[in-house]
Amino acid sequence: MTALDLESATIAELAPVIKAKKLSVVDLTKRFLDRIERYNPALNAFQTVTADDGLKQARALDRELRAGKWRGPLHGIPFSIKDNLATRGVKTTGGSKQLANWIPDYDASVVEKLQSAGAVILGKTNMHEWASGSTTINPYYGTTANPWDRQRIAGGSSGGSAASVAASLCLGSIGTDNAGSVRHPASLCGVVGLKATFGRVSRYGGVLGTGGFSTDHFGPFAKTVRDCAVMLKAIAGHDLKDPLSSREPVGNYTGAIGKSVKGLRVGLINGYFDEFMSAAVHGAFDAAVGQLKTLGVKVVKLDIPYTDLIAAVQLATSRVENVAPAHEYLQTSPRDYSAPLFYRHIKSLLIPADVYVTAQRVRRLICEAFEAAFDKVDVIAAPTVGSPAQTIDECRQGFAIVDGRRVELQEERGTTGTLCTIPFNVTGLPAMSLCCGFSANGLPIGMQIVGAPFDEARLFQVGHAYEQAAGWYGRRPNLD
Amino acid sequence: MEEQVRRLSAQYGWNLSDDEIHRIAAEAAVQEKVLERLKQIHLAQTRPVMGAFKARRSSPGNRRRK
Repeated sequence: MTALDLESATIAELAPVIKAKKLSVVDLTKRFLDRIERYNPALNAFQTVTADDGLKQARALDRELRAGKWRGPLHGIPFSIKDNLATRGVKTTGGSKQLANWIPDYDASVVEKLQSAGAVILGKTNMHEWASGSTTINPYYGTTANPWDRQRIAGGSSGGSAASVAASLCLGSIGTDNAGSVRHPASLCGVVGLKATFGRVSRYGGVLGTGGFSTDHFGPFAKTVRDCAVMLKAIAGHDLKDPLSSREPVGNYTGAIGKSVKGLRVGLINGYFDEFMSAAVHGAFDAAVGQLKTLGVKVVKLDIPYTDLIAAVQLATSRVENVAPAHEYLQTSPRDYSAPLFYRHIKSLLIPADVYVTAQRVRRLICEAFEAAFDKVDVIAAPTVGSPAQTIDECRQGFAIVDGRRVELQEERGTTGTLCTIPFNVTGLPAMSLCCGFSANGLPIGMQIVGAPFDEARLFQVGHAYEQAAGWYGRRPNLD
Repeated sequence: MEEQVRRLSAQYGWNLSDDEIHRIAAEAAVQEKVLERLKQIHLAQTRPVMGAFKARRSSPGNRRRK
């Protein structure tokens, strides 16, 4: 297998090769570790590389194969894990200075499930400080560069996870998504990123304070929709350790792959997203909707009430829930937060309790309004991020020039880059970002497919059909 | 707002500078304005979202809210 093959390899392609013992897990692991050694210094996708542990897992998985035991399609597949998910015996910083030396003695449930399915963990990925932003410009662990253009951000907060998959340093990753932190970097790096329904994936073992209790979700990154479906199957399901994890049965996700989408109804929400889309994103998104129409879907325009309140609900719920676990650090090591995050926590402490509860009540109205929309449609399509990846310099200065006008990257409603993703954190609806085109300067653009609660299979059905028809997934960044 | 920030600073022992207090208070005032809109919604009988979500059980053509 050549280096080029590794760049285009997917889980679905490698699984049968590993099962047939045509490629050993150790060999595969070493090849990915070589790529990490070669490309990670420039990308800073991995914060910690666990080469020895990975090779140890690989050897054990090879032994199992020789003994006739194959765990399934993730057997021997190399993964990365965002650094706010606890990994037993491996440093887990949450992108923070406060947890710089924390080594958990337990695994997050997603990590445990992934390893039970046969995954090889190659390391922990860089992220925005405390998952509190979308640039992955981290003051303590450096900036993760976008594999498509290293002068640009990878997005965030799970920027390292997205970059590690886009650069083929691994075949999949797990991130967390409180306001778009899986889908935003997936969009900017041209990979598939999924936030399943609230409660579908256990959140046990996530670093507290890196996501709101009401709005945070854990989810997979992969190169293709099919790989994403395989990963979700492995990590979904009820978990006694997470009181908010759901007992709904796990769907047949891979069974939805390849089904026709003819006759399905795709909803487009009037108003809300138009405000945020640049010309490049508008063009790519419209073309993607056109492609879906050629596959036989029917487009339905939707008017959904209360969308103007989404940002306020997200702000009140997520910030209050994030600052509550920060109490200890605000007392003992407040200046170990970067100044913007320290100030944000102080502002969060000023949100009154009644406003928090009001936000949760308004949230119910928004949830009900979105759910009612699924009387009329099977899925909703929306842009993931309003514009392609900004440069690192633009993010540092706080604004960018988009279509000739100045756009503030942080506004009163929150981070500009996540205003397209937060509706589905507030509503808990499953939402997947996949590549729907490239800008004139070669940067990936993402589209979200959103479903009714626990209808992830439908996302895979529609996403896969679009992906195969459009063919963008075959493009890979040039890293040399 | 500045007074509230000063109180928090004293309570937590942050020793915020006057510049920091001005800045945080100004940003908190903007935040308050954004959140103010939530109070203008009629919420009688509307309970907060709590607990795990449920799947929709009925057919796509005849779906009702959970």
